[in-house]
Amino acid sequence: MSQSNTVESWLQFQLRVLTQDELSPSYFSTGFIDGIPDRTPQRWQLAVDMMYRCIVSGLVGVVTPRYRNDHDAFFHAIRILNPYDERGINLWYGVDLFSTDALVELIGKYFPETGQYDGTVNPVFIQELKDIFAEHNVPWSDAPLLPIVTNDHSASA
Amino acid sequence: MQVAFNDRGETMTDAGGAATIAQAPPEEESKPEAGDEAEGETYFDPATGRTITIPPGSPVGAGRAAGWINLRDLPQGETSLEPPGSTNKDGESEVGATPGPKGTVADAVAPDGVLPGESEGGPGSPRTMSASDNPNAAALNYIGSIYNGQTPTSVQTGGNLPHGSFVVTMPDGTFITFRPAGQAGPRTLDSTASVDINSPAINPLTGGATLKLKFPRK
Repeated sequence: MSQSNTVESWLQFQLRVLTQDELSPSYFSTGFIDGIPDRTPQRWQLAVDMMYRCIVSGLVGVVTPRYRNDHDAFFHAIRILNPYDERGINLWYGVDLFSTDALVELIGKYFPETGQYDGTVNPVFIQELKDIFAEHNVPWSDAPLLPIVTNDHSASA
Repeated sequence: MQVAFNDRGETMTDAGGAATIAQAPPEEESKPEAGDEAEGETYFDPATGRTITIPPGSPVGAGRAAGWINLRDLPQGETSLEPPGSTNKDGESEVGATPGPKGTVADAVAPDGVLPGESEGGPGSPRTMSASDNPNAAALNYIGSIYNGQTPTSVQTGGNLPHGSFVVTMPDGTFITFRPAGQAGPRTLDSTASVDINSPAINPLTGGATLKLKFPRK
C-alpha cells in the first residue's frame, strides 16, 4: 500500500533518524514530501522553519562550535544561504545537529529503537509535537516563521 | 617499497601494496616549519579520491597547502590504505581511485539496489560497515572507491566542517561528506568515522534520507 508523503510523515521520519545519529541541516532540506520538491524555495523555507521550531523547543541542538551557543547566528545563516546553492554547501552539510534527551524521550515513547518502520504517521506523536511547538511559541503552521532571503547577493555566513 | 613520481615529484602510487606511513602519536598536529623536510607523508585528495604519498625530502606542508587531508593529522595513529589493485598505463597503482569507465556513485554504493553495511534501526538509520583497525583510512578508502571515475565539481573543507572533514559534490548530483573519528557529535563513538552520501539515486533506498555509513574501530 502506498502512502502519501506528508510534512508530518517526513518530519516523523527525520526526527526518528536524528535520535540515532547526528545529522547535518541538509537532512531537513531533503526527503520525500509530496508537493514540496527538493531544490525549491518552498522546501528551503520548510527546512528553516522546522529546524527553528525544533531548536527553540529544545528538541534539537547544534554540535558545531560556531553555533552551539549562538543559535541566532545559525538561524540567520540558514535563512540567507541556499541549501541548494554552492555557497550554502559548507553550512548545510558542514554543521552537525543532535537530538536532545527530550527528543530521544519523545521518540522513545512512540517508536521502537530497532526493527521495522513502515512510515505510518502516528497522530498522537504528531499532536504532542505540535503541542510542544505551541508551548514554545513556534506553532506548526504553513506561514513562514523565519522567512528565507533569496537574494543571491546576500552575505556569507 | 616501489614508488613512482608524478610531474610534481609526488608519489602517486605504491605498486607493492598499501601505502603505509609511520605515525606521530594520535591527535598530534604536525606543524610545518620553514626548511623542514617531510619524512614521507600520506594524504587523501578529495578532488580525485586518490591517496598520495609525498616522498621524503619534500617540503613539509606541501600536501596540506594543496587542500589534501593529511592522514597523520587525523586522530587514529597508524594509517594504512588499501589500494584497489588497479594499475595505470605507467604501471602505477592509483591508490583509492577507481579506474575505468565513469559510473555514478549509486552504481558503486548500491549495485542492484543493495545498500552496504548493516542496520538494525530500519529505514534511514545509520549503517555500520566492517570494523577496522583504522576507521579513518577505511572510510577514505571507501570514498575513493565510490567516485567511480567521476571528478568532483566542488570540494569544501574548513568553515563549519570539523578538522579533517570535507564535502564533495559529484557531477551526478551526489554529495559525499567525510567526518573523521572524533569529529562527530554525542551520539557517535569517538572511534567511529562517518561518511554521508546524499544522492537522488540512493535516497529512495533509505526511505528518503541521506545514507549514513559508520566505520567503527575493531
